[in-house]
Amino acid sequence: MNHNSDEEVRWFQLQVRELEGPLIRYTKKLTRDTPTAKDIVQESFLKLWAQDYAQVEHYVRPWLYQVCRHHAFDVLKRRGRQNDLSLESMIAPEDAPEDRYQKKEILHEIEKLKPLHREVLILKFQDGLTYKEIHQVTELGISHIGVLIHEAMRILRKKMSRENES
Amino acid sequence: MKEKYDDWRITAYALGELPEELTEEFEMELKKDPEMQKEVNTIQQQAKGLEKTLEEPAHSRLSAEQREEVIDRTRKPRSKFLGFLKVFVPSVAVLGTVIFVSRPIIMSTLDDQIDKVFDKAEGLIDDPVSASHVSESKKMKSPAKLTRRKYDSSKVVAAHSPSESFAMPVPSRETEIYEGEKPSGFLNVSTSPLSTFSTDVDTASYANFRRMINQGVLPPADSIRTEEFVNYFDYDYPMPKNEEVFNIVTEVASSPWKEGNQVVKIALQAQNFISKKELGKNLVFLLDVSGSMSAQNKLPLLVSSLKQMIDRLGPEDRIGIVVYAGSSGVVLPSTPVQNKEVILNALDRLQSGGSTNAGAGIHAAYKMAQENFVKDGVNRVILATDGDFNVGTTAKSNLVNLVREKAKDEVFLTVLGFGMGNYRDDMLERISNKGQGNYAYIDSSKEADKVLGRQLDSTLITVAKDVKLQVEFNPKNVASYRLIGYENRELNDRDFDDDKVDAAEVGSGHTVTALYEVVPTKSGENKESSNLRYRKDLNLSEGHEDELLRVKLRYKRPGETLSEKIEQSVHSGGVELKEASDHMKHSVAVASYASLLRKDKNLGQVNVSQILELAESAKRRDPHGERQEFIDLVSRSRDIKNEKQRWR
Repeated sequence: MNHNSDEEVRWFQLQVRELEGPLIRYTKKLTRDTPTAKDIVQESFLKLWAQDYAQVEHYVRPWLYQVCRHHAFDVLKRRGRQNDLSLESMIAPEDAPEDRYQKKEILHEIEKLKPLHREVLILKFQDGLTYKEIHQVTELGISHIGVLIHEAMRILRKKMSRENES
Repeated sequence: MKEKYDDWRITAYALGELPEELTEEFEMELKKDPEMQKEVNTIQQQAKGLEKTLEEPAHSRLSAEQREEVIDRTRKPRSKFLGFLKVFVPSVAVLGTVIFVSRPIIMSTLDDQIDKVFDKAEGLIDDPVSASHVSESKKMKSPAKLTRRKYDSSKVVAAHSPSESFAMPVPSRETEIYEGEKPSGFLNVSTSPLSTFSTDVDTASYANFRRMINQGVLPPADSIRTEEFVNYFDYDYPMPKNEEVFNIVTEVASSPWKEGNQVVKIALQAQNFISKKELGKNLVFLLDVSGSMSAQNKLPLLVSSLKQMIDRLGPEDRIGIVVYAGSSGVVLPSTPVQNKEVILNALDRLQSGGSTNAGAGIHAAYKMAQENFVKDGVNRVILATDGDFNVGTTAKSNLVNLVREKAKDEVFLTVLGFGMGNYRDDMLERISNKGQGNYAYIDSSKEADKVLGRQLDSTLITVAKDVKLQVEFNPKNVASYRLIGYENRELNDRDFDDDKVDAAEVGSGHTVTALYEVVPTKSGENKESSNLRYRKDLNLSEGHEDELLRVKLRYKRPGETLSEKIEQSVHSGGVELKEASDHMKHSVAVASYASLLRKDKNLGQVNVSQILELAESAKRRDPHGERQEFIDLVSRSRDIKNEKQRWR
């Protein structure tokens, strides 16, 4: 593959367009502020361009997620904070409470899960990553991810059914 | 929740994530234990709910400077690993201290751009054949949501060139107004005299609403498409005369939403070709038989409605069946209906199980349809699914492209949605829109009977394609207007005359109804209504003093590439709404109710009781009980609201 071939440039630009939004959304959940998240996402793209196209082409999405994740963890470490992904931005005050009542309740329950449960749940159900891709991002074993998602969904189901009964 | 099902494999299987080596053994266990199958279904439902709950727009974009820096890199020869070090390391050090001041950019149009680029970019999208392998391969699955449908061909062309494709698009009036598919607001006639949209005869949104109400839940606002509510109902407008394809029917009455305003109905009645010579039919059913389809209101309902449909077909008509799930394949090669037993046997053998791979199936279905092509007949792929496409977004846009390509070869698509929540509704609608097909949601045997029985010809026989409407308002008589519904069917004004721009198809005997609310000009106000210096001095054309607006309709007959146009004027005047026709009153009642569900502010003070009263007054002719059913559903939804004490 020639470097900077048209195809490669277009491929790269498409990745930027396609993935910048989801990556910023994801990274923001880790850093909890948008400017830092954007900064990290920009760096991940610069880093992507430096990669061998043929090698990353097939798993570019988990690759970018992983770069952003590591990078965000570095930032959090410097800030003296724990690695913890939060949905606080989604439980936004502007949502009219009566419309979003149930949604909010589930989000609150997700927020109460253990950080690892929460993270795989987000990667699976918001970002639509497969178990395998989550494995590539988090470096957890695939069956471990399977167990985490299973547990998280069960906990939520229990909570919600209790909620409905009461 | 039973402890015995506390097994991660059940969850993984339900999500289509169980590794292959474990699947076979697991499926054996599953067969022996119907309770476990229920557990699988519950998990799938929960997964859909979670996806919905966690849905969050990914609109954030890099700042222009950041983007420029990224793109700039592609213009220079790169020095692999070192290049990364140079940039990456220093900026890590300053992270957190640098605040990026980004230019204020309205990004709403960018997403549209992305859609277009994504749909169109040559060489970037796998060829259709490889799409079928996506689920097994490591190809990236894109998370970008492709839900917007505004078409702007000029942007697509520009986006082909890599150097230009990152240029910031200029936000246009239309995109800002329709962002997020919010109900449209009023537009000023002096600045926006034209309103252009593609017709919509889909009914899925209403049927889906009915299912939810019958289950005792109120539908979420964003699942409501007003035009699909209005167009769900039978309006037997007068048929077109002679060989005409369409009859345009218009009516003007006072607005129930704001005093002094008027409602203008613009309706199309398509020619009914049922009485003409029987058209040969070549139908290929593409059936989703994945695990999630096993519920009683899905595959079993589909099978029984297909059996009934066969009786409505002629002996020479052909039916083929392709299924898709974990693997896909031809279940029934294209078979003439006179071999009815063979078809019924194939239907009886259908079983659900496994995860979904629509990609391979859809190619096989189109291939079969083309191999059995009936010239001047009905050639159609009918996709029946609950919307669980287990293919990446890349492959999805391949599907959309494929469907659009095949429509050019006169093989059209019908999408039948089954038993789902609102999940993937956007995707199904998108596929059917692009394929110039139609999309119906089947929630009950009654609805199946309508779509595949009573209205089978409307579903199958296309009388016109690329059907576009453009309304030109007369600034002398109309100050401003709003189109009710059709938000995701908006077209650019210039696309109306552009035969290359696709739009919807209309089936035999179909009706299309669109409503505008207009604010009439007060006497003497007309020329002053514009604040534009030059516009103000423009001589408004002489004549046409009594015209409110002009309706222009463009369509192509099937197989044609050039469009035909018909025009008709609507005169000012009009009656009180209570004096209007039943069709008018009913469509206004339905539109009001859809607007209420969407929390549309333009609704004014109209409440449920008024809507019910209006609907009651409009059901003198209701041969299929649909209008009464609407009244019942509205009352029922009010009860649901009352139960929750959330009715304002």
